[in-house]
Amino acid sequence: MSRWIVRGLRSGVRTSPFPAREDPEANDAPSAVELDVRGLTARTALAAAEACPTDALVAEGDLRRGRLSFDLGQCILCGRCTRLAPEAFRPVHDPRVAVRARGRLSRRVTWSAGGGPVEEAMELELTGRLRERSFRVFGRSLHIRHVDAGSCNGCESELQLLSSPYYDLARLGLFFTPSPRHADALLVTGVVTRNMEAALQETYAAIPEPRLVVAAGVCAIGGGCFAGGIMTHGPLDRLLPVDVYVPGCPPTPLALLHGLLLAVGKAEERRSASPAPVAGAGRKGEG
Amino acid sequence: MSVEFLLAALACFGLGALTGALAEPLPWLRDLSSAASTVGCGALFVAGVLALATPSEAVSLPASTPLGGFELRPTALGGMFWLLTGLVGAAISAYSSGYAPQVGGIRRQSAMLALLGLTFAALAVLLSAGNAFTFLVAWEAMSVLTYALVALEYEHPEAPQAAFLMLALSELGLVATAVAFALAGGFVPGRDFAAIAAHGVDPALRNGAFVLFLFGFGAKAGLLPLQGWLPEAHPAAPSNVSALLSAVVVKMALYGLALSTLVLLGPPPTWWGFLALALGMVTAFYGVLFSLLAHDLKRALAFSTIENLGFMVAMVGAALLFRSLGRPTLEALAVVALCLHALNHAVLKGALFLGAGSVQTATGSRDMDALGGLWRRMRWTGAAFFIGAAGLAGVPPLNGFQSEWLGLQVLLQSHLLQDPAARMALAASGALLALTLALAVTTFIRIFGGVFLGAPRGAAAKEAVESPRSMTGGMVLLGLAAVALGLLPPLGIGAAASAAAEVSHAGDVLDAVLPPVFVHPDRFSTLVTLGGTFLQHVIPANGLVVVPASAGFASIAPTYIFCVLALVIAIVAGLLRLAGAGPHRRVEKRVWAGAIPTYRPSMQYTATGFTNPLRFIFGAVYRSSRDIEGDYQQAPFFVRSITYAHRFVEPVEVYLYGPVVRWARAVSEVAGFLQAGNVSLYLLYLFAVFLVALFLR
Amino acid sequence: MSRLAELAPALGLTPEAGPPGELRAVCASASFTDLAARIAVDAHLSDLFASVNPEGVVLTAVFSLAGDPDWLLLSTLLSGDRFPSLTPRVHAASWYEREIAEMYGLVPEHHPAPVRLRLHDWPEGMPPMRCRLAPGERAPRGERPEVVPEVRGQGVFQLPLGPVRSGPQEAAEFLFNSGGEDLVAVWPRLGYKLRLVERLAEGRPVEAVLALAERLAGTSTFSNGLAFVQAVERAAAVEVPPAARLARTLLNELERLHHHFGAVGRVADATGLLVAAAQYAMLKEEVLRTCAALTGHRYSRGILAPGGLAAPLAAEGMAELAGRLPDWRRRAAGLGALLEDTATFMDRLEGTAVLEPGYAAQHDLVGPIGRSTGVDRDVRRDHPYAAYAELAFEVPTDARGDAEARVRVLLAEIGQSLGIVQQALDRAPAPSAVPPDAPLGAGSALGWAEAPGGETLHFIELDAGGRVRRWRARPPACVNWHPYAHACASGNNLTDYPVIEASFALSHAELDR
Repeated sequence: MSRWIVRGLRSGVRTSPFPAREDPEANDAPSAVELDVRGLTARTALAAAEACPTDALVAEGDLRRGRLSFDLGQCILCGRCTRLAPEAFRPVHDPRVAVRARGRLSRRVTWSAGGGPVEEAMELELTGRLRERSFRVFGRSLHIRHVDAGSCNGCESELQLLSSPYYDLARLGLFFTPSPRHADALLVTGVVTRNMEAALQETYAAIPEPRLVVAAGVCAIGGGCFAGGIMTHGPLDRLLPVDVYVPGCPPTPLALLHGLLLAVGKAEERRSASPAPVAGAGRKGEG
Repeated sequence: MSVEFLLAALACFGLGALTGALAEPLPWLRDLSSAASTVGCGALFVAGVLALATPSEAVSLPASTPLGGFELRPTALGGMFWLLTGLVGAAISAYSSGYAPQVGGIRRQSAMLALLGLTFAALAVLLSAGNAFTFLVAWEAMSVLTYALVALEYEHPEAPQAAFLMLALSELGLVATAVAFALAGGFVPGRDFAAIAAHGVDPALRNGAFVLFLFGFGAKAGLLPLQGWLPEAHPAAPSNVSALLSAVVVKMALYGLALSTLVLLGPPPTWWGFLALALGMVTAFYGVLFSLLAHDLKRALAFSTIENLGFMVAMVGAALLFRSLGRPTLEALAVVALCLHALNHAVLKGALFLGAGSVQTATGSRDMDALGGLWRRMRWTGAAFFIGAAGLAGVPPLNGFQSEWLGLQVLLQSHLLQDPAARMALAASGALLALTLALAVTTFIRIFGGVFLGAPRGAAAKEAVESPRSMTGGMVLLGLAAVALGLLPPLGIGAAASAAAEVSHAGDVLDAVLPPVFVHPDRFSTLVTLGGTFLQHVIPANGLVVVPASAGFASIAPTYIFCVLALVIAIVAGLLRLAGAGPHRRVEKRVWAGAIPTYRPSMQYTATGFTNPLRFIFGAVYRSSRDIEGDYQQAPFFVRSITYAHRFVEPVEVYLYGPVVRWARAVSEVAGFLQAGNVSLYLLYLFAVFLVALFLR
Repeated sequence: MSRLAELAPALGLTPEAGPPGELRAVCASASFTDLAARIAVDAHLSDLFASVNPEGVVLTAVFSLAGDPDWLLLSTLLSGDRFPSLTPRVHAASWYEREIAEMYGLVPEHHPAPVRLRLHDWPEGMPPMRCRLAPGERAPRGERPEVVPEVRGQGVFQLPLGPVRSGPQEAAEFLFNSGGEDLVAVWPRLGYKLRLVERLAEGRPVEAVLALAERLAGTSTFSNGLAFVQAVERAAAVEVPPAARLARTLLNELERLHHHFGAVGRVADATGLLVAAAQYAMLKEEVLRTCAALTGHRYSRGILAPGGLAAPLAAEGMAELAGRLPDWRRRAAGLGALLEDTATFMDRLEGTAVLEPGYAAQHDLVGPIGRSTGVDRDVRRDHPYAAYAELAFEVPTDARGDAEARVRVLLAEIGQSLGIVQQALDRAPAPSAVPPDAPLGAGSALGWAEAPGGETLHFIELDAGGRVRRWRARPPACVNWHPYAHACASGNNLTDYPVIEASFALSHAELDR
C-alpha cells in the first residue's frame, strides 16, 4: 500500500487553476462555437445552415433576403460550420459558456437586398427563473444530484472526470450526492427519454427546497440530434424550471465547473453580446 | 408478617385454581380466576418486600415422611424472588384473562387458568421451602405443572414434543438435585436448610454435591449443555406461559443454585467459581449467537433468555470465586448483581414475551421476516416491547443497563485480587461478556426493527389490530415497572442488597452499592461536588448513585442521566421554538429508492438479512452453508424461479444430544432382552431384589 | 476461397454479389431458422435484425467464422408477422429476437421468454419502428409489465438499485435479491435510455446520421462513427487514402486507451484503491486532451467524413502525442504491474462473477469480455479495417472468465494499444487532403470496427438520393449485457457488486440506443 502512496505523491499537483486563473492546457477542445457577424455573408449563412446536422443553424429565405438563427443550445460541436466558414464561425476556447437564460444562447442575423448581415436585437426571454433570492447560500458547498435522462454517456464521462485530480470539483465546494434528499441541485444530462421521464420527475420532487436545476449538454437543452424523436420527451425546460444551461456535446469539464459555479453565484457569464473574439485562452496561434 | 401474606397468596392461588377448574360450566368464572391469581401475586409481592425487610419465623407441619416434614421459612433471598414472581405474575395473570381465548376452547382455557393458579402456588412454596423435602415436592410440582402448560396446545405437534423434552431434562435434573440434597444433608433425613448451613457439609461430599447441584439446577436454568429444551419449549407454549417460563420459572433454578451453593454448601474451593463462571459465560455467548439467527420471534427471545441466564450463573460463579478468596464485599456485590439482574430480566423478558403473544394474536405469525410496520398499528404493545428490548439491550437509563453494568463491574474487580488464575478468569469472562452484550444489542435491534419498524411485509401485518385492554394492561405494568426500576435505583438495589447481605453475611451491602450520599453527604465529597445530592429531599433513599464497591472506581446515576436528557431535550426544543422553528408542514412523499417505478415492502431488510454477515463471521460455530438453486425453462437459460436456502447447526444438538440419544437407543435395544414381557422373568427379578435386600439388611 | 464461401453451397445457398468481404444469401422464410442454426454451429452469430421493405419485413442474420475475413449475411422475406424462433437452438439470438419482436411487432414462435427488452410502458399494437406518429405526438402510456423471476427463501428481500444511481452514472435499474450479504439474484431492467436512433436516422442525409452514429454512445464515439462511415464507403465503393486510414487507426486506438484507462480506474475505485483510480483518471484525461489537440474535440467527434477525414490531424497535436506517448507507456506499465502486485486488489477480483467459458460460448460474446472467457476474436485482426492489416499487434485472451481475467485482458489491451499508436506515429501519417464529397447513390453495406467494448457492427441501406433508408447499429454492449445477470449470481456477495459492474465496464447507452 505504501508504494501506492509514494506513486501518488510523486505525481505532484496537477489540479487545474480554474477559475482563479486560466488553464490553457485544458482548453484545446472548444467549448462552444461563436458567430462573428462581421465575417458572415448570406451565401455562407445558407451553406452553413445546410451543413448543420441539428437545428443550431437554421436559415430562411435566399441570397437576397433572409434570416439565420444561431442557437448554441443545439450545437453539437461537429465543426462543419467552423471548417466551412472560419471567418464567421469560430470555436470558443474559453470554457465560460454556461448561461442562466435560454435566450442568451440564441442569436439572429438578417440580411436583405442592399445590406449585409445585421444582427437582430433579441428580447431576452428568461425561461430560467431569475432569482430574487440569492443562492449564494450554497456557495460554500453545493450538493449535486445527477440524473442521466438518456444521454450517450459522453456527458457522464466528463462528469466522472470532474472528480479526477485534474479538475477536483470538491475543492470548489461541489459534491455529488447519492440521495436527492441531501441535494441542493439537480444536474440533468441527456435528452429526456420516455422511459426516464417519470424517474426524473420523481428525483426532482424528492429534492427539498431551495433547489437548482442545471441542464448540461445540448441534449438536455434542446434535444441535440435526438430532438423530435418519438421516444424523446425533452427538452428539459419543458418539464422542469431550469436555472443554468451548459452547452456542449459533451460540455468540457471546465465548462461544467463554470456552469455549477454560475448556479451558486461564484462565477459570471461571459458577456459577449458583441462578437468580439475571445482573447488569450486557447491553442497557440488560434483565436 | 411475610408468612401471613404468603398464606394469603396461597389462598388466592387456590381460589384461582378452583374457579379456573370450574370455569367450564360457568364461563364468567374465568375473569374471577385471573383476578384471584393477580391478587395472589400482589400478596406475594408484598410478602417478598416484607421478607426482605425483616427475618421471619418458620411455619412447619409435623414430620410425616422419612425425608422430613413440610416446612416454610421465608428468607431474604427467597423474598427477593417472591418479589420478582409477584410482580411479573401479576402482569401475566392480568394478561391471561384477555389472552385466554387464543389458547382454545373453554375447556382448555379453564385448564390453563387452573394450572396457572397451581403453578403460582408451587412457586410460592418453592421459594420459602425450609427443607429439602418441601423444596423437592414443590420443584416436582412446578415441573409437572409447567409441562402440562407447555403441552396445552397439543394439536400442534411441536408443543407436546417440546414439553416432553423439557420434562425429560427436568426429571434428569430432579434426580441430580435430590441426590445432591442428600449429599449436602449428610444423608441425615429431615435436616432442614438452617441446620445444614449451621452444621456444614462433609468435605468429602461437598464437591460431588456442588457438581450435582450445578447439573440439576443447570438443567432447569438452560445452562450449557442442557439448554436444548429451552428454545423448543418456550416458543411452543402459549405466550403467557412462555412469559412465565422465561421470566419466572428459570429464575427458580437460579434461586436453587444460589441457595444451594452460596447458602448451604459453605466455604467453596476456587474451582467451583471457575467452573460456574466458565459455564455461565459460554452459555451466555452461545445463547446470543443463536438468538441472532433465529427468525421465529419467540425462539429468538428464548435464546436471549439463555444468554441472560448464563450471565446470572456467571455471577454466581463470581460470588463463589470471591468467597473462596475471602472477599465478602465483592461476593456481596456479585450477589447484588445476580439478584438485580434476575429482577430486571424477569420484568423485561416478561414484557417481551407478553408483547410477542400480542403480536402473534394480532397477526397469527411469529416469523419476523413476514412482519414489520406494527408500530403504527399496535402502539401499546410496541411501547412495552420497546422498553423490554431496549432494556435487555442495555440502553441507559433503563434497568437492564444497570444490572449489566453492575455485572461487568463485578468482573472488573479482578484488579483487587492477587490470585493470578482468578484475575485471568475474571478478565477473560469480562471480555466475553462485553462481546456478548454487544451482540445482544444487535439481536434486539434486529428483533424490534424486524417486527415493529419499516413497512408491513405481508397482509397479516398490514391488518393487525391492538390487543384488548387486559393484555395491554399487563404489558404496560411491566413496562412501567422497568422504567421505575431504571429511574429509581434504590428500588431494585435495595431489595437485592438485602438478599445479598443475608447470603454473604457481609454488612452494609446497601451502603457499598448505593452510597448514602443523601444521608451522610460529608463522607462523599467527590460525589457531592458532582451533584450527588440532587433530589435529596424528594426521594427517601440512601442516594441515587450506583457504585461497584468503591466510588473511586466507577459510578453511574441513571436518575440523573434521565434528568439531564430530559432537560437537554426540553432546552433544545425551547430554543428552537424561540428561534421560530415552529412545527413544519408535513408532506408525505414516497420513499426514495432510486426512482424505481414500484416500491414494494419486500424491498427492505428482513430480520434474517440483518444478521446474515454474522453467519459468515461466526461460521466456524454455525457451520453455515448456503444453497442457490434455479428452476430453468431451458437450462441453464431462462430462469423461472430461484430458491435460496441457508442452513446452520446448533453444535450442542448435533455433537452432544445426537450421539447421546443414539447411544441410549442402542443400549436400550441391546438391553431389550431384559424386558421380554415374560411374567416369570419379572417374578425372578423381584425374587433377586428381595434376596439382595435381605443380604444388605 | 473462404470457408464461408464453401459453406454456402453446402447449405443450398447461392451467394449473391455484395460489397467485397460480404457474402449475401437469400433464403425462403420457412428454412431461415434451420439454415441459420446450422451455420451457427461453427460460426459466430454477429447480428440478427429486421428491416422493412416495400415488399414486407426482411430478417437478416450476420455470421462470421473464426479465421475467415468474410461475413455472411443471410436474409429472408417474411410472409407474415410470425417466424420460428432461432433461440431454442442458438441462444445468442435471444435478445435480438426480443428486440425484433418489440420494435417490429413480429412474433418469434417458441421463443422461451419473448418479453420486452427495452420498451417499458409503450402501448401494445404499435411497434415503434413501424408505427406512424405525427411530429411531436407522443404515444399514450400503457401497462408496464413486470416480468421478474420469483425468488424464494427464508429472509430473502429485494434491494432496488436505480434507475437513478449513486454518482454520475448511467441510468439503469437492477433489482437485487439478497439474503443479507449473499447476492442471490440480480435482474437488470434496461432500456431507460432508449432514444430509438435507428428510427431517427430514417430519411436523413448521411452526414446527419453520422452525427447520430457518433452520439450513440460517448465512450465508443469514434468506433461507432468509424463503423458507420466505413459502411457508407463500402456501399458507395469509395476508397480511403492510406494516410487517412492510418489516422483513423490512430484515433481508434486512442479511444480504446481512454476507455480502458477509465474502466481500470473504476475497478480500482470499486475496490477502494483510490490512488490507482486517480492515476488512471489522470491518464484518461491526458488522452482526451491529446485527442482534442489532434481533432478539435476530446472524443474525436466531427473528424470523420465519408472518404477520409473532415480535416487533417493537427500538427501540434501529433507533436504532443509523440511527446506524451513514452510517458504513457511507462506509467501504464508501472501501474499495471503495481496493480497485479496489490493483493487486496487482486483478491477481490479472483473468482468474482465468473462467466464459465462453456456458458459464455453460447452467447457469442465480443470484445474484452468475450476474450476473458477464451473467445479469441477481434475484428482488427480477423476482418482488418483501416490500417490494421499493416500493423503488428496481439490479441490477449484469458480463459477463466472471472473479474480478474477481465481486468487482465484490459491491462494487456492497454499495452497493445500503446504499441499500435507507436507504430502509427512511426509511420508519420502526412496530413492528407480532405476528399471531396463523394456522390452517394443507392446501396447497402456492412461496416464494422473494434470499439473498446468489442466489435460494433453497422448496416446501412441508402436510397437513390443518398439518404439513409435503414440504419442498423449493433454496438458491443448489445451482446455483452446478455450473460450479466448470470455472472452476478454465481455465489457473490453484495459488497462484490461494484467490482462486478466495474469489471464488466459495459455501456448502457450502447444497448438502449
